[in-house]
Amino acid sequence: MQSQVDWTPLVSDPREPQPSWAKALLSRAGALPWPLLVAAAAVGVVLVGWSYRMSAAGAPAGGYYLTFWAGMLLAILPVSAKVAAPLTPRAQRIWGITLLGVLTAVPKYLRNPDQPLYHDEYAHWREAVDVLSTGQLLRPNALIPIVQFFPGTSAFTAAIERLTGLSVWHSGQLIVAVMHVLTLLAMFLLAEAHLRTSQAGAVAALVYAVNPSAVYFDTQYAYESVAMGLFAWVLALASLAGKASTRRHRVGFTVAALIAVAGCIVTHHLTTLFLLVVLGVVCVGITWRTRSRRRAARRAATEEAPAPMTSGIEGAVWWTVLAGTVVMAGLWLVFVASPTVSYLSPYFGGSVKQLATMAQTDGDSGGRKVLAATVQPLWERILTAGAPFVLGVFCLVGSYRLWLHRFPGPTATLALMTFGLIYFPSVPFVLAPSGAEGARRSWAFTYVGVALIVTLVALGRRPGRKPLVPPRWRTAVGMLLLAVLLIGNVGGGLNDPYRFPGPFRWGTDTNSASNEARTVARQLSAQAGTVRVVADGYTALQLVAYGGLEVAAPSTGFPAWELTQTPNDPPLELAKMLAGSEYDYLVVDIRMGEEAAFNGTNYGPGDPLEGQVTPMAYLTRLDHVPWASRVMATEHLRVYRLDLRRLGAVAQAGS
Amino acid sequence: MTRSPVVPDWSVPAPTATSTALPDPDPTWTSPALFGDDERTRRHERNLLALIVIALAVAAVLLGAPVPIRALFSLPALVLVAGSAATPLVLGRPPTLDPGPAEATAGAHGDDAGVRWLLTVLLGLLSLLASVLVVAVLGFAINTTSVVLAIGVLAALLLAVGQLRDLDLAHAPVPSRAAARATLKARARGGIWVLTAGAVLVGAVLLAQSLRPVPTETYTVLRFTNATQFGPDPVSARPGQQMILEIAVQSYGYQLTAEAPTVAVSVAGQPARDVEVSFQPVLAHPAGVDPGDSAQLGAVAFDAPSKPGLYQVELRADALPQGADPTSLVTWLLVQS
Repeated sequence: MQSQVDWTPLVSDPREPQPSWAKALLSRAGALPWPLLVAAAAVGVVLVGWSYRMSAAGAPAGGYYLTFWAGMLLAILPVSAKVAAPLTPRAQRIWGITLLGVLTAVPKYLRNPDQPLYHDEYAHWREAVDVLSTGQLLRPNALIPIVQFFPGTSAFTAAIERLTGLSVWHSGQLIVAVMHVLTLLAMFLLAEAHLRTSQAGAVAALVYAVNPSAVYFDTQYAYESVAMGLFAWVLALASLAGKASTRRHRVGFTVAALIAVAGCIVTHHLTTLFLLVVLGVVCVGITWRTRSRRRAARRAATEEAPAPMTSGIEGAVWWTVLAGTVVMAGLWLVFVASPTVSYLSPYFGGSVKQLATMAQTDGDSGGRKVLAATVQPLWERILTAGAPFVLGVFCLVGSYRLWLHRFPGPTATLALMTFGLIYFPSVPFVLAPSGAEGARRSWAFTYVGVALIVTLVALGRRPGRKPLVPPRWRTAVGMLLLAVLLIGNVGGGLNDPYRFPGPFRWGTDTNSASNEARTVARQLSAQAGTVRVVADGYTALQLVAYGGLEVAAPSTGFPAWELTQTPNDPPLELAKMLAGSEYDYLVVDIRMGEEAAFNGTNYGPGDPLEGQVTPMAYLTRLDHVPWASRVMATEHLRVYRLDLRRLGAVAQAGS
Repeated sequence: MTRSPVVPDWSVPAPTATSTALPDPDPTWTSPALFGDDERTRRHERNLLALIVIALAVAAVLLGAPVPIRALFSLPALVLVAGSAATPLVLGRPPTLDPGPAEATAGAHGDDAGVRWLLTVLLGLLSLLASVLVVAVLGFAINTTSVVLAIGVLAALLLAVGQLRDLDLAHAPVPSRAAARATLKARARGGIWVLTAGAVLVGAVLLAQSLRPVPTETYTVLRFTNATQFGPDPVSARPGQQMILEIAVQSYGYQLTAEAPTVAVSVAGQPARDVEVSFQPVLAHPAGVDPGDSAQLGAVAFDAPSKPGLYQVELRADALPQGADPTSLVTWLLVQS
């Protein structure tokens, strides 16, 4: 009976006697002195800064990519070897993971240390600015309207800004950095609780630290970056509660988990959704397995039922956390954040539909091309493509071993691993335009399970059989695989303009940002107030963030792009919509008439000139139409005051 | 299959494979259950000290202490005191520590000093969030006073509840004075090391940040300053009426020269009649919203056309120092008799 529930052969125990030579080698990684690790980290950080200097100066991509990765690997690998070594004390593992958290946050911090640059950062920064200037939460947000209903990030930022006197931006950076570090520490506790050794906890934290979102996406100033830490803590605390041996601690950890759930719910919708999914998977897994074992016991007509993999108490803990999450999320959804459903639903339906369409047409129907038009060096692209395969091998081996041992271990652990397997079917969704975003975002969550599986395989033993990797090579091979995952995942995360500074490049959220546009935003706001504006997607970021202006969100239903993307006056329907919504201004960056947008479109999905340069005549004609007056101009930007009544009359005549 | 004696049983909670917790538990700590009057007094002293820290942190914020003091003292103090007070409320007293190795007890129920430290930070941060949310729900404005008082009161309340429930701060077992001194010494050493490492890393980040070249942009803003140009009504005039367009030129990344820009006005594509251009002296470092490096205000006067109709008026400011693209403004003039 007991053999069915025993999965101890899968996890090595560092307290077991090691061969002396292996012990010596392994202990070398564990004995790496801290001053050396910190010095390596410092040099690595400086190298990362140097790579940014190179890219900003327009150096060849191969050079700055190489410098960047030399810095990152120099900073990260020594401390990773230290925390993953078998004999490293637990306290030092915790310090090492803290250092690792700081180091993986550095590239994003250095990317834009003083002001927002990523799309979501503009929205959240503006939200925090508005909260602080009005003294009220839940301010309308022009860039990402749903941000209004999830005030966690702006509340954290406001608190830090008021307490410290730091700028809004640096206050936001601080909470994101702290949450990033806390996420890795939560992962450590979670894996330690499930896999029973602090080494397993450390390895899982390392694997999680190199997930595709960890280095750039989940370190940006946005609600997911903050909520991610709370998500990880809910799972860690629920795991600790499930394993607790006293009622006091079980209740305490459960209460702490529910407090973290509340923080997560008021901070980010998608993270809450993933939290519900993972809690649901665990709860259903526990219940299903307990019942099936009971049935099996009844069928066997044995009086002694097999020992349940997960006690009823552990199941009760997970169900309590799930129930609490459902209730709190439901209340928040009903009373505060009711538009969330309509905000999220198009992403799910749309991406599945697009993926199906692409499959039917051999993927040649508007799908995305991964790594297309990239300056990434070939070796990084190879590693980007290879990272999912490396994970796939780990998961296959892990699944095989679990199957071989008849799926031993606590059900909660297996359920978390099963949740991690969602990573693999989500990978193809990066090819679907509206699924890519969701797929990428899911990886930060599913990597929790992936990290557990990888750890299980990496530290697993094969009793009576020769180890796949000789112990003396384990550290080297482990660090090599970690480097492959790190480089591959970061390469598959965000594109070059997001990762590296560079000369002005039209059509990116990051390298299209200019002081010129910021000045226009502030001047227009000062002159005309918080007016409504039509603008391309890149200038819009500056107008909203720095001017507090309300910018149109063009779509096929509201094709505001027709003001600049066609040679004709807008149709009557659009004129009516513009007049009805009082879009009184149009801001044009004439650089859209000089080069095609790097991201493909000037106005987002549906732009009729996707992939093309806007003909300059389309832009200069605005100086000659009676419904537009150029009231402000710089070398590259033009602000037009729209006479909507005259526009309506012209459109009426045209129709 | 026989179970290896060195491997924990999965069906019961097992010790974590650790050699130390964070920080190392001190076997001389006294179990809370064994508190005597002396220990109780010291616990009260510690709570009092925590209250003083809260008061100092709140005062530093309210009195507008310099940013480094508020960032390095007030924020961590309020977060850590609130977290330290909340942790025992959630988890209860820390486990009684046996004099054996840490791994024999640390993982027994997932409650050790390391977990408590991390939970302290987490709950402290969440108390920040809770404070702002409570301020908002109660209808107060989110400002410095309301936020700092909310977090201060919350931390004090948590301490008070802990006191009432006979709980202590997160790391509650109160050591003897000798043990406390030894612990303090060890922690000071650790603290110095952590601060040194932190300083090295911060220095590296600042150096890396300074390596990045700061791009300088040079551009000019030309804009109307008449309110009518930004208003809802079209610009209108009587035939032959003198029109005055007020404009501003602002430079960024360079200084305007004392010489006034050359401004040309065309109406319906033809040079306007009786154009008068006047500019005020150049203002270096003007005031206002994003004012730029220098600015010059001006006015352009010209006569409206003599016949009714809708006319395009173009104002071209040539010969600006950076005028690679002569900046122009365009408006429409409705002439009505």
